[in-house]
Amino acid sequence: MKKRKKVSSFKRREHLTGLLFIAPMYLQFLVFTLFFLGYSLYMSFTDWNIVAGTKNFIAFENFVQILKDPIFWKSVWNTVYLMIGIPIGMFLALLMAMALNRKLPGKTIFRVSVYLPAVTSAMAIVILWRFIYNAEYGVINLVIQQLTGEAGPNWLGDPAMVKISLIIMGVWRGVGNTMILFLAGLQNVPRDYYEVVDVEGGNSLHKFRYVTLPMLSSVTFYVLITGVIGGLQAFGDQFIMTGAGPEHSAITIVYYLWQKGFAEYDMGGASAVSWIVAVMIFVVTLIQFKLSNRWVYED
Amino acid sequence: MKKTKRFKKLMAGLLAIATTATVVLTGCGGGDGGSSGDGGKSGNDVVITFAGWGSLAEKQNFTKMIDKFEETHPGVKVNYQHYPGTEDDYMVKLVSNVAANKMPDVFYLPTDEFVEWASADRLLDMTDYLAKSENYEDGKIWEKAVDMYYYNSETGAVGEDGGLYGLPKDLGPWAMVYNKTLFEQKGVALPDPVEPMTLDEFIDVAKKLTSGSGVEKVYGTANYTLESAVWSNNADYLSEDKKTITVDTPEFAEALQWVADLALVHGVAPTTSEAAASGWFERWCNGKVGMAWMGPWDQPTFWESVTFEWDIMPTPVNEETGKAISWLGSAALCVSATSKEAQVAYELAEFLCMDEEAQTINYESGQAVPNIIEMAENDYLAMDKMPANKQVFLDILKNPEKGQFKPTYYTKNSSWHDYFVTEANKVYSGEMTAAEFCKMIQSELQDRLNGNE
Repeated sequence: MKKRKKVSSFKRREHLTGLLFIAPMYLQFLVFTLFFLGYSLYMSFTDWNIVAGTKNFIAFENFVQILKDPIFWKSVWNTVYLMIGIPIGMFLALLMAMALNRKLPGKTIFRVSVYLPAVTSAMAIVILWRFIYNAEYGVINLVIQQLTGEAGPNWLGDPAMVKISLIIMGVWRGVGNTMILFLAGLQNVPRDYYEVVDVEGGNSLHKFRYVTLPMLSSVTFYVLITGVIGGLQAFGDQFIMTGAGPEHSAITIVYYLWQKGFAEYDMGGASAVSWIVAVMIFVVTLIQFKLSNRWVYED
Repeated sequence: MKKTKRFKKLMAGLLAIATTATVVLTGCGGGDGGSSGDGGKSGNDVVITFAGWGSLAEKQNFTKMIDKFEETHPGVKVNYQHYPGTEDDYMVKLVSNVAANKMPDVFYLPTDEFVEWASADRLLDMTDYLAKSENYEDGKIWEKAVDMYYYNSETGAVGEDGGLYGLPKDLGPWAMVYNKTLFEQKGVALPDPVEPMTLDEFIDVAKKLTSGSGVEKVYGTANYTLESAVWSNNADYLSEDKKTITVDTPEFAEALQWVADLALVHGVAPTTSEAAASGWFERWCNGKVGMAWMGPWDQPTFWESVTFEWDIMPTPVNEETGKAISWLGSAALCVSATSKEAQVAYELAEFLCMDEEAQTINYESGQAVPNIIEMAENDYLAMDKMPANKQVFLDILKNPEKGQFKPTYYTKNSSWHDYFVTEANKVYSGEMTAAEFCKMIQSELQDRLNGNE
């Protein structure tokens, strides 16, 4: 290490200019992120009621209450359950991406139609699916009725069906986006890798197993990480479509948080839930990163 | 390449600064409470804000009433913020106004929020304002309607005692309505306008009205209001002091089971699945149920979109107890405790609540039964529009033994009740008997009620 030399005025000015350029970014981070992060952490230790205006320090009381609440655990279970949709969506997306990676007639139309939900307003999609799922007049049950003569399931009204309904809709909506990512990944696989398999006498299964899959592993990892983080934050579909659901069968952690904050005005409790979610996301993502060394192949 | 990057960074920085500045500036602007000026020519006008939810019909209605208020109060401008959508959506907006310190001067407050807000000192104590008022004397408007917005800050009890923290926007009796045309088609005798049916008779009539299947299915009744069944069976959700959950009594369970059995055993009401697919309102408007429940606020929609004849009937009576009780809904007109124009704001609330012109507009458009007793008993009863038997509404309003407030009105937070409603699906779907369910749920509800004390 060299000793610090006296910096010339030109350099100092350049440093200053540099700092000035990055200042807004840091300022924004400090004001809009770090401050509220700290604030919500503090609030999670208070009995902050937004209507009553109380803000007394109550230590871990909020956390104790939440962890004792059966509905919180139900919301955790539901949130995890709903994430079954992630691997299903990834599998379907990969199949479609591989199909589209070949020369197929009508490829563009297919690509557009699969990607369409990704550019459609989330609100519109959920409202549309609420109609589709309508137990009496919904299109799915009308088809089931026509084909089998039996009444279809009560998609959104039966506690056993609600989560499955949400998963089906989620997969349908997300598959296009994931497919595009996989498609980009597939098109980045160098041709000569496949040729090597040919030369070695391997078949297409070998190509998939030893070239395609490893080459797609970083995309897969990205999709998985973002999917899980998004899954832990699930809220919007429930908010528009089901509410807490019959017998709290659709309540997710973030919906539980929202209820605490805006239905019970217990912002202290809501802050505590948000920290529990944050820690969960952090831990799960950390584990995924650690495990990724074993299966993600970096080119 | 470098240049564009730098440019982007610069732009990002500028944007950040601009956003910060906007937030800081608007934050400061919010300091002067609700009376945000309209910046127009009217420099000396007193400007107050008024917030409420409701349909477009309700919006038009209140716009008319506010115009009248501005006519009679020169120099006052009312900035009416109407929130379409549900009560719950509106409450989220109102709460964000609290957080932003930008409370409207006058606003609707649902009854199940009243205790929470009154106990938080968010509402202006109107006792003295009402005492000084020249427009009010005892006996002018429904006693119950004024009494219900008294709150005693020492005991935490509502009704009669303490300070007055709101005026009734309306007092809405929940009454049973029937499809007259359907009754006549099926050759079923019309309900007596005075004598209530017994609950057994009610099931018999409902059976006679039920017919068809699939999309053509007509049910005798929509889902029965649980409060009515419970109260009429000598049971209640809460103890006398409103501190203990009493859903675990045999009477409560019996009432809940009776309601669930309408669909499960008798097949005269939609199942939970069917009710989730299309609610009572839709079924009623399409003529697919013979009997249902309605409040006066449903009148405009019924006048507009119901093609058959309908009328209301006395609440069915429980033959063992002799009781026939329904609920009374209301919403308060409250003034923010931080309003800078409290006197004018109070006058607006009072005007909307008990001015004759305002009340006339309100009942003629079908929004409510008038708050003014004399007007309700004369002009409203004589109004030539359905329902014909308007006396049923007035009976529920007047007699404490016919109309009660919902349990959530008495408690600070209604989360215990939300919990009950969501979980009660176990009984309606037939998964559990009411007796098992009520026993199981009591402590859960009690915990939730205590947590909010």
